Amino acid sequence: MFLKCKTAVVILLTFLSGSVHARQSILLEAGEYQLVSGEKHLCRNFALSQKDTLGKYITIADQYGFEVGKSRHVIESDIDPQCEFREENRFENTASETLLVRLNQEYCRAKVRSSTRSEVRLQAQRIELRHEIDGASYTCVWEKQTQ
Amino acid sequence: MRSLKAILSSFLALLVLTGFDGHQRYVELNGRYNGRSSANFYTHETNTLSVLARGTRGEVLEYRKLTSGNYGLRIKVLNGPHSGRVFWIYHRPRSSSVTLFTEAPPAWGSHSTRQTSSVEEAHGMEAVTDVNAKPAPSQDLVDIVNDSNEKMSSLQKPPCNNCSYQPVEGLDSLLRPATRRPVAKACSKLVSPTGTLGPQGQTLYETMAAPQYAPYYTARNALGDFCPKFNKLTTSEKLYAWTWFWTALAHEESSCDMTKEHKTTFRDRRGRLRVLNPHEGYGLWALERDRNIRRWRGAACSNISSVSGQAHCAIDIMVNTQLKRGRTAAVRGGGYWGPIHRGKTQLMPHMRRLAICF
Repeated sequence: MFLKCKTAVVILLTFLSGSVHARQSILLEAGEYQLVSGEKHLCRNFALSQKDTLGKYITIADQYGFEVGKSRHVIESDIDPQCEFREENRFENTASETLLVRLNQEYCRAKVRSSTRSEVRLQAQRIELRHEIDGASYTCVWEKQTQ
Repeated sequence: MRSLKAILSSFLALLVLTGFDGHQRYVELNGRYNGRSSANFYTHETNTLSVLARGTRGEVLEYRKLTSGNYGLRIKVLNGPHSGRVFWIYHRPRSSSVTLFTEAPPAWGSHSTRQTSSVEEAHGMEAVTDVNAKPAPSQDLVDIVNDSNEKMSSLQKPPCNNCSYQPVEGLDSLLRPATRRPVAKACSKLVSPTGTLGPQGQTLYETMAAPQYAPYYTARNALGDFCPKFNKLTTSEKLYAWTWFWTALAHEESSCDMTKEHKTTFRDRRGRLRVLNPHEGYGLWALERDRNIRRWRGAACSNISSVSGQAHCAIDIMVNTQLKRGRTAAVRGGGYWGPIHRGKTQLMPHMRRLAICF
């Protein structure tokens, strides 16, 4: 009897734990996205499948990868043993849009060597990306093709 | 005499390093070693090309640290029957039968090696637990690479054993001579001016021929407009054409400099700071320098510190962003590399040198 109770508790805890850690979902529809504003050579037209919108990562225009969730990553450089790469990801969901922010920095001998910040706002059929790197920035907007 | 020997021994002990930290450039084998075509050292692998005899000396072209803490060393043999050929050997620093040098000892060149005819004679220094990200090539692949190189050798001048710059002679080579914009001299490590695969070209070729990539790289019309006769080529010719494509792209991106740091911004005519690339690029094919940014690309791009690591990553990106999506290499308005979008002006002049494609 004790074992049965214990098993039930374990199953319940597992279920609850799963709910708490359920993957965050984004407000974006699958389909073909066309650039309506921004620089063509930095922001290309692209397509998203249903699977792409449900993954742990989402990639915009083949180049801008975002983690869907809040996280931090520190990893040593494979190129220079004196350097390491740091990344912070932020995730916010409101009723009308999902905000994903990613900050990447390279530290060499405790000093910042380079810094990149990407921010993307996802609405059902609209994507707005702002990208900053080494003191320069640009914004691109895509909209879903309806036909 | 004894004191002289002691002094000489001390001197040699200073020169010779038993450990390996990536700075050693030369190696001498004190036992028999399997010479492999790739850095896969499972005992059951079929990538052993030859057995290297005791006394074999080589130059370390590249190394790879394995999960066990041991190393795979890619060496170019400098003496004996395999002189000029390139192999991977296994190196276990704690109990190795290799001697490593930071500089070539002056006495080298006066010794000969003993021939070994059988793979089974090579004693096993190799672990069975090391796993490498690079897939193990099959015996078919080894045959394809060897056949391809033999074919190229028979078509032209002697093969590029040291893979340095060789002058173009005649028009009977696989590559037509460059009329306007030759590729940088450093690109001869990929493909020599006469068309022979260099050590880095072999790595590219082998990686594309791996089971998970070959179906995409040999698929119908995979090179698109860059090689109109692609569908008429044999498998080895297709992979050779792709190797030349990667060489041309490496030239356009980095002048074949594997440590090239690619800029992210530039000043326009009005002096405004503009973005050239969304991420800083590195190496032959301007791969993303930041390892975190590369993270979502998967294991193939986890380490780009070596040419083989860069090749593996670039080959994987091409598959995932173009070939797997039904696109060819000559895609416009998508994909990773700028010179591909500007293919007509940047890549086509190089591709037109490949006679088998046009």
